[in-house]
Amino acid sequence: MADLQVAELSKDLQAAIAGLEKNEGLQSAGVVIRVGDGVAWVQGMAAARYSEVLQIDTKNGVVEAFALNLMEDEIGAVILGDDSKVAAGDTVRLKGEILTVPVGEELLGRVVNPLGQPLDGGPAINTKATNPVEREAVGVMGRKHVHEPMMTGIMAIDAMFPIGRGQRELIIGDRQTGKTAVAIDTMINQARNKSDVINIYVAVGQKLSKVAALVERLKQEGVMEQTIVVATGPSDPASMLYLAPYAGTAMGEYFRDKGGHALMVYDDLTKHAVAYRQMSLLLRRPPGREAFPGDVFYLHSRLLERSAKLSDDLGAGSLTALPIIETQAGDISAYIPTNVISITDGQIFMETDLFNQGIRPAISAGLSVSRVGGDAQTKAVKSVSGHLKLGLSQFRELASFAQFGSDLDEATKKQIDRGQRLTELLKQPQYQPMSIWEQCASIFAVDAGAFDGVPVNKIKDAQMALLTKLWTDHKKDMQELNKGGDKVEKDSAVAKLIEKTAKAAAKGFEG
Amino acid sequence: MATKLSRRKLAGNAAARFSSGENKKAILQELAAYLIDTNRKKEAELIVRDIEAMLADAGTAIGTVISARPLSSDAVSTVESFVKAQNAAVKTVVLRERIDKTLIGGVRLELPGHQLDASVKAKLEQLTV
Repeated sequence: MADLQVAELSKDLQAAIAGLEKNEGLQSAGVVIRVGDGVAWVQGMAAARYSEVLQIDTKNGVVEAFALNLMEDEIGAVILGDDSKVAAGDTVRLKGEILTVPVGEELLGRVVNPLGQPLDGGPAINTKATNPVEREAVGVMGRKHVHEPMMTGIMAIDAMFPIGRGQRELIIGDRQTGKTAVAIDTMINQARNKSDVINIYVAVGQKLSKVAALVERLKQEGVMEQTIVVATGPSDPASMLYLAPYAGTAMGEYFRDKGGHALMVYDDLTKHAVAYRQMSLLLRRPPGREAFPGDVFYLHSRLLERSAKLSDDLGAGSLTALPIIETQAGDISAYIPTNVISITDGQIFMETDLFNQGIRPAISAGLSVSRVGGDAQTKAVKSVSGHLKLGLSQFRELASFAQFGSDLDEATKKQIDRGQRLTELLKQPQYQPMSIWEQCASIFAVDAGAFDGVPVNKIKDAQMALLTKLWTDHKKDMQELNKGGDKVEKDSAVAKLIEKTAKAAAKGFEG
Repeated sequence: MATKLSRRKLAGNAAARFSSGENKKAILQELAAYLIDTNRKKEAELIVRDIEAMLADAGTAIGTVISARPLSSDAVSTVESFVKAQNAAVKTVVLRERIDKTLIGGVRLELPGHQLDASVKAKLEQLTV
């Protein structure tokens, strides 16, 4: 090494400092005073803002965290990633921005974590845009009422509890009652109908084997190309589980704000609340009811309020939400379920008893509701489903009398028979969403009495025969019906066609 | 139960008394006694940092300049001028010097609540990132 003159070194150093004066100023910095359980406590950085990203310089590189507790003496920062890399004494710098995630079409077909990093082994994702994870919901004047249908393909839902674009419809029930299945069928139906809806499935603390199976099924059904999966497993830090729904919503807002339509599935928000409880307790926030922090309602309300139907001035895009909540022993009056029920625009209640009886999807017609209702229904489905809810509710009242078959009057017997047939009709296999014409034809046929002579256990076979015949012999009419714009009125040509075909199909199954 | 005084309040009190010219030894004795009495000796270093931060707001910036090789007096003066330029409230700059050969070149300046890393090591790490 050549001899270095100290004077030269000094000159170089002064030049370097002078150069730095032009572009860089002093950075706000602090020091980690203690770390553990995913939380780093930082001293200094009085200028840190709430939810601002902090960069911790560890021996193994930079680890990011975000500031959640801004206290007089220290900042509680939740670490994004492995907290074992962080040690007391590490320097912390402000990144100068709040947490953002990459958003855009580049994410379609990919499985990512809440920071937008790929988990599917594919190439790195480079998006042109990012969106903040936390963002204020659209104001009143920026919204329009929900008026476009979001067809799930599940007859029981589309007929009785229709969902519209921009609506928040909760799916609630005990474990293993088919909640995720309803959400997946809705996603599959968007691809089947070639609707322009982008699906975003947020797995919060779900078993990774379940997520992998779901991704595989979506690929088989050809849905993955219009889907983004944001996945967090049970072994991920609570901070990632906490961020996942917000990150997913940020991705959905990208499409909404461009005038497009997106569907969010949050599976499930119960685990999200539990993760937030864990974080809050570790941040030493005071526990409230069931040890949840006092702002657990705000946790979900600010998330779900971002799902909306935008006004025409803002592009008329929409973000529809299907949050999922898991109950214990069917208790929908528990803390978190009641919170989310009061936030959403309706709920689909899945009952264990119905599931065990073989009624799948196990949707409780009595406890489920859609507060948007007919405004979000196609004219065709609306015209045939008027008697459906009434028929089922009357059947529910009389169901316990079904065992007294021969001792009942004719009117009661007829109601019970009709109810049993409607219940059987609404059963639907998984991954087989029904189109508008299929739903209209099936419901109309039963309502018109065409299947009254068919034994209950043959109703599905009769339905299949009807739909096959209609599609084979009257395809054009069914394609027209599938547009959903025309009502199926009793004396209309299509109604007479369906009734005639149904009676013919029923003959082969009547006992 | 006695209210626990926050570190910032303790530091603020000490900094104000330093600035007003009170006897430094006496202030530190009182502070040490309080920390022992309240079993908060572990917070001593943190309180020193808080005191330095408050003294900086009051006009006296105490910092550490770290370099790979000893700095000349001119270089130190340049750093002091830089610190004054960053904050108009600073009238006096007191710098501690430290050598860290791992920086390779350049300097790192640590001030209360702020940092400037102009070392070659930091630039290489940025390239890696």
